[in-house]
This record gives sequence, C-alpha cells and structure tokens, in this order.
Amino acid sequence: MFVELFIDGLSVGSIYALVSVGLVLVFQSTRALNFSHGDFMMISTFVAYALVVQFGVPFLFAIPVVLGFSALLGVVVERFVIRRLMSGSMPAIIMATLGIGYMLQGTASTIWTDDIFAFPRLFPGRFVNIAGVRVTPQSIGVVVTTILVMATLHLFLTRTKLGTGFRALTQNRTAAALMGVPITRMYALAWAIGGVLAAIAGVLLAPTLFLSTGMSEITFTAIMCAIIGGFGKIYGAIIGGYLVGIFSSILPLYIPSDLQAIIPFVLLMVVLFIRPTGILGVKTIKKV
Amino acid sequence: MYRERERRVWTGKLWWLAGVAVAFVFPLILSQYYLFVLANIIIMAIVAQGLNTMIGWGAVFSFGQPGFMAFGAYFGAILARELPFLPFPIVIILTAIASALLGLLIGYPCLRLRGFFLAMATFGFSSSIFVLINFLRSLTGGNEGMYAPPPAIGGISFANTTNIFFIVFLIGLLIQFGVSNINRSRTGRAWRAIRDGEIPAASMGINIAKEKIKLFILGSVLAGVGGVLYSYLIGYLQSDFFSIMGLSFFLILVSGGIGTVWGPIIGSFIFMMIPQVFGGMFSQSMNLVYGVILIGFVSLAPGGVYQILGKLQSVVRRGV
Repeated sequence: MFVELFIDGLSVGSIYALVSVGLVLVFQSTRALNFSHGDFMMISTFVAYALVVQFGVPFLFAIPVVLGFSALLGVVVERFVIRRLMSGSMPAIIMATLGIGYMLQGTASTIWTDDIFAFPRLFPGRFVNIAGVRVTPQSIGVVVTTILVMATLHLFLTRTKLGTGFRALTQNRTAAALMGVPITRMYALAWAIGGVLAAIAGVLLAPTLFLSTGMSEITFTAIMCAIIGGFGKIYGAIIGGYLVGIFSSILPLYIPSDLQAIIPFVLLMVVLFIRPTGILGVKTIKKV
Repeated sequence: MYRERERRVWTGKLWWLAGVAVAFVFPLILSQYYLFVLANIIIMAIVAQGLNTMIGWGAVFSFGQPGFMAFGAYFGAILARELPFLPFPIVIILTAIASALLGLLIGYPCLRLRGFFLAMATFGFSSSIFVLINFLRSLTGGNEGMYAPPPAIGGISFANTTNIFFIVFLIGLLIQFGVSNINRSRTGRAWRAIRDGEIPAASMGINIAKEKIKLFILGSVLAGVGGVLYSYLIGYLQSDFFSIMGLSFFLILVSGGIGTVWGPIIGSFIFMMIPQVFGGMFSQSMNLVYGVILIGFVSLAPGGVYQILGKLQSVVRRGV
C-alpha cells in the first residue's frame, strides 16, 4: 500500500511541480505572482477536451493546438494586463491576476458549465504489475512526461542563448537590458512557457481528477509548493512539488482523510519554521 | 484658529449622531428584503474594512479574512447556543476578543513573513479553518451546517430583520467611527508610514513588528465581528458560505477605493449591486463579470469609485 501511494504521490507531485515551475518562471521574469495560473491550466484543459471529445480530433494533433493556445493566452495576458501594471504596486498585480482568474473561470463556466467531465486518458490501460506493486500506466506516463519536460526546460535555460538571457534577466533586470537581452520579449516568453507548462499539467491531471472549473484551485497549492522549495528557485519549485505530492498521498494512511486538504499548508508552516527562506532559498538583505 | 478647530470637531461628532438617526429612517422607507440586503452590505463592508486597514494602510496582504469571518460566526453561534443566557452584546464582545487572540496567534508567526509568503500563510490558515469546521462535526454540524441562534437578551430574542438591521447598522457606524479616528491618530500615521516603506518607517522609530501585529489583530477583530453579525442575519451557518467569499473582499476594496475610510462601504454596495444588475443576463457567467470589473478598476481607476467621485467633485468645484 505504502509503495503504491508513494508512486501515486510521485505522479501528483509531478503535476504540482509543473504548475509551480510555471509560476516561478513567470514570477522571476515579471515579478508578478500569477494567481490565475490554475485557471490557465483549467481553460487549456477544457480546450483540449473540446478538441478531443467534442470535435473528435486525435490527441496527437490536439496537443500542439492546446499548447499553442495556452502560450498565446499567456502572451496576451502579459502584454495587455501585466505589462501596464509592472511599475505599480504588488497589490495591484495580485488583484489583476485574481481578476484574470475570475474571467477565465467565468468564460469556462459559460461555455462548458460547472459540471464535472471525464477526460480521456493519454496513457490508457489497467494496472501493470511491477515486482508485486500495482502501478497504472497513467502515473508512469505522468512522471516520465514531467521528467522529459523538465529536462527540456533545463537544457533550454542552460544551453541556449535565449535561456542564458533569461537567467541573466532573473539576476539583474537592468544589467541584462544593458547587455542586450530583449527584456520585453523575455517577459512574453516566460508567460508563454508558464502557460504551456500549465496546459501540460492540466492534460496530465484531468484523467485522474476529472475536468471541472474547480480544477483551478491548484494555484494555491502550487504557490505553497514554490514557497516550500524556496520562492523564486525553479529547482526549489520541483522539490516542493514532489514533497507536497508525496506527503499528501501518504499521510492520509495515518491521519483522518478529512484533513488531507490542509497537508500542504502544514508542510509549508513546518518548512518555514525550520528554514524561513524555503529549502533552496537564499536570504536576501534589503538595502536602502 | 483653535476655536475653529474645536467647532469642526464638534460638527464632525454631530454628523456621526445624525448617522444614528438615519438608522431609524431606513426601516420606514425600505421593505424587509432591502433591509436584509442593506444589512448584508454593511456586514461585508465591516469585514472589507478590516482588509482595507491591512492592505490599504499597512501593506499586510492577507487572504485570511474569510477564515476569520467564519471563525467569528461559528464562535459566536456556538457560544450563544451553549450559554443561551448571555446577552448578545456580550457574545459580540467575547467573539471580538477571541478573534483578537486568534489574530495574535496566527499573526505572530505569519508576520515574520512578508509579501507573497504572508498572503499564502494567511490563505492556508483560512482554508484550514474551513477544513476544521467540516471536521469537527459534533460542534459545528460539519457539512450539513448548523442553526445559528438569533441575537437575544435574557430570553427576549430580536429575530426579525428590522431589529437585526438596527444592530448591524449601529455596530457598523461604531466601527466606521473608530476606524476613521484611528486613521487620523498616531497609530494610523505609523501604519501608512509602514505601507510607504518599512525601512524609512523603522528609522523614524516605528516598531514595525508591533504595529503590524496591531494591524493584523484589528483586521481579524473586524472580520470576527462581521462573522457574528452575518450569523444573526442568515440564521444558519455552513463553511461554504465563507469559503466562496474568498476573493469578494478584493473586489470590494478595488471598486470602492483601497486605503480610504469610506471605500469599503462604497465597494460593498457596488459588489452587492452587481448580481442585481447583471444577474438576469449573465447568471451563468457572473465570475466573468466580476473579473472584468476587477481588472477594469485595477488598470483604469486604481483608486476605485472613491477616487472617481473625488475627481468629479473637483471638476464641479472648478466649474462653479
């Protein structure tokens, strides 16, 4: 049972990791914490549902369209809402992203209603028996896909010119601009990547959790994962995602399952209590 | 000069007394339904005022308001159920004290964090409260909810809408009076200094941690009191009532005007009117309407309706 739950946790953790890495990328570039990130995921998954189930497009063709859609959505939001507010205060940006979340939520419930839909599995099939442990192809697929996506992202950030520019931007915006990094294009790029990661997470999550407008609640868990890992650190977000995923799958063995919903929060509090900067975080000293 | 100032203080107090008199006018001209709506508006405004003091004056970004409101509502209702002889003003005061203690308990560790960290910690607190409410079934009725006793003094109950409206209105007025006084006091100035920059504020001799705790406690108390009043008005409690409120308070603040004393009241009026105006046409997509309004205010009129009214006033004055 324990091992099965652990593998379950790995698969849930992969989803959290994908979502929180997107959040962190967006935050690193535009200093905006995107409270509508879960809504990006939700609406992209609905678009995938519409293509695959309602119009009968094969998965192979639908996925590029969905990823394109979510990237475009990210770029549009960045261009028309966030960029205008970036010089403003933190509350203004938080409220604006909350507002975008409301809008996406409202759009989805207008088109598809608030019902729950069954989403087709990307990795079909029943249990597989590996050394006495029953695993679904779905959870293996989720973990493998996530690892591939993360590896691609890592290679992009470390081996390409664009990725190096992006890392320069996250270290020092002004210096990066002076070195010729196209800052505004980097903002758009970060939001596009964030959107794509959210869409991948959505398509992977929907078959197990079902598809509904309530999916977007993942935003808050993902933010907690990002903080646990050390806010603003991409690899921290991955660690935080897997920690939260594994703990919230395994702990219900030992505590009443009604309390499962507060596990991420308790974990956050414990981590912040021991290490106020999060696991990989570095203490920043504010200078006047 | 001194005389002038003294007279202004006096006329200021007279305006507040006139406010008390207005309370008796509303039941004469409004139907029971609109009294209910108005009481609801005032309750939302009280809770939003708590958030307003935190965000607008002190840059303490909290998502905890619905949680504190739920805590206040359940605490007051359970207290009144178990000890029915307590007069309702005592229940309200005890709830305020309990909310203050909870605010201290949550605020003390949380306020060591800042910005997004603080926001997430308070959000986590809020959702834990809802989980706990559903978990402690014997006390709160869990998912099915619980019946909340009406306000009563020694067995005489004030259960009808008009009476509850009076209670809500008077408490709302008292809170508004208190908040506008704090706003002008030394503490209020200290809070605004913290909002505008913690390091300069600290170098002026303001104890940042202490002031932030005070601010957080004020916000929690207002949410708790709002919660009790809400339980009186609705008469029935379910954790869902509060968990769906999550983001409403932000909409109230942004549309009314963050950091102004009267903004939350204007904002909650707007917030309650939105479903009345758009509900018929867009009942399926209310969230879309809320989102458009929220973004519209943030990007076009960040000071909310209060700022727009101020601009109109100056235009009119110049015209005359």
